[in-house]
Amino acid sequence: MPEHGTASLVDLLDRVVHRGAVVRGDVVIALAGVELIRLDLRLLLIGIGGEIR
Amino acid sequence: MSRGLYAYAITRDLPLDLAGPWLVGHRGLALVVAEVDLDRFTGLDLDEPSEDSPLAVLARYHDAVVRSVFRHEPVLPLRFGTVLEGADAAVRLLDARHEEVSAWLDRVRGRQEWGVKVRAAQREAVRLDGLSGTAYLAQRRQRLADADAVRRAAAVLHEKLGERADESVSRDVTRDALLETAYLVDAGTEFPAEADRLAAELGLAVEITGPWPPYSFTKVELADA
Repeated sequence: MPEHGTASLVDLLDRVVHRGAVVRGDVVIALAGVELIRLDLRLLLIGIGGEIR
Repeated sequence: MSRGLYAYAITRDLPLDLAGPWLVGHRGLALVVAEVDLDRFTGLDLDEPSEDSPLAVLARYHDAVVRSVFRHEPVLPLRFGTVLEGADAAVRLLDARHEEVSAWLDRVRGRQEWGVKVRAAQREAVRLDGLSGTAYLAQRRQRLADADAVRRAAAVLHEKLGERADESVSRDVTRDALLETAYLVDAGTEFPAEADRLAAELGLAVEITGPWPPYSFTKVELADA
């Protein structure tokens, strides 16, 4: 199993969910649930740390 | 139950034992993938995510897979929740974005990300009882001057860390954070120790996190042609 990091959950979610390259196009299966989370999380993270430049 | 091919990252197409996820290779690049049950990704709850919430568990696993690649090869992390139709789709994506992804992997080869945060001082409530108007104004002026000094020190810290990094990505300064920046640095350097030392010299309390895979430097959007 890959090792599990010990970074704080906020720092981790900030990077894993909010950053990372976005893949678009017909190769991707749309995950409605994840898209919704992404919107929510963006709002949450702006609240914590400001919008990313 | 519907299934899809979850994509964690893109890397060089070299042998990697990831104990679970596998590589779909094409022209020297590879997508790190695993078959997942899509139901696990619907309805994830974001309200005060705790360590054992489904979102946290999935995100930690995503990070663990990205890190296990990162330990051996340059890695382009993909955003949480990227699911492809199948191996054919993975190959189409790698084919369409080959040059762009190759250049990006060269850029981060041998580098890692460090996060540096300087929080603003907690504001204590001014005690008005027994305080004269003059004393109140003096206290207020002093606080503003202190806050200004800390803000300037944070800017100096960022400038000096920037000289030691290849690239940086900053969030806007807010009421709570005077500096919140990710720096991309060579893996061999003493960046975190340097950041600690510089912050101490400047009288700043910093939070340093890392090393991270280069999550914050992935401002690329990959669309299949």
